[in-house]
Amino acid sequence: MLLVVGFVSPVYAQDAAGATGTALVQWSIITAGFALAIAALGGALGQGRAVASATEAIARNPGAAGEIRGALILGLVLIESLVIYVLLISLILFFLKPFGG
Amino acid sequence: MSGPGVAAPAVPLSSGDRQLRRLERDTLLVGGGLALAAMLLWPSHPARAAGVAGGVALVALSYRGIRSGIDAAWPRSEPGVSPDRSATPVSGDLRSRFGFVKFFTRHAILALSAYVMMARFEFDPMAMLAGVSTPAIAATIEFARTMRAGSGGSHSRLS
Repeated sequence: MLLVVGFVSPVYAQDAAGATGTALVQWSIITAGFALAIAALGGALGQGRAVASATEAIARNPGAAGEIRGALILGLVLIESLVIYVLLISLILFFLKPFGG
Repeated sequence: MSGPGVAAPAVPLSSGDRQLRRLERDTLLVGGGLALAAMLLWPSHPARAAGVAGGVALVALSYRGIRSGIDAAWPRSEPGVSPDRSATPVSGDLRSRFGFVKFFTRHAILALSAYVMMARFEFDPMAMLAGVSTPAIAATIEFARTMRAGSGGSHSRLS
């Protein structure tokens, strides 16, 4: 009886480990999707605010358009780089599957 | 902005444009330095150096898209002069239309490029993250330079 349990228990352990790994992969993919959605939402809100403020500032003071354009482009690029971070992390989770699968 | 076959009039750079030029240069220098360091540190893993270059390329794609859209929306004008007096209208201009296309499709281009680099070319993902960080490093350098110039009481070092 002990021998039978001894032979069978590793098989159960393998099943449990496989199920855990599959669940981890599924949750990592779900997390990546939500992370990308949240990053896109935050980036869009930030960029929208930046463009709205720049438009208002250029309308108030058209002579300072050059300086405002530079600051706007810099701000948009820095916001966008954060979204690209999350895109890369999501792609790592989608395609490279660091948690197995 | 002028059409593709017409030479654009030379417009002097504003301080914002000069700052962007310095940021472009610093980003390229930092990215090149990081790629070189990766190549020297891990000569048997060229995917790491390629990953840094790929990250810089992603940021460059994003930057070009944003800049094209903003150039199309607000054409560059002489410093201190209202844009409506110095710039030509952008409506119907092929280049400005292409700029808007680049601006609005940049996320699709970025996602496709990142997928190709990561899943097909198998660039190192951590190196790509390092490459994407280069504009933030360049902005930090620019900030430090501005602070130093401000504390020195002279703006001549900025240009």
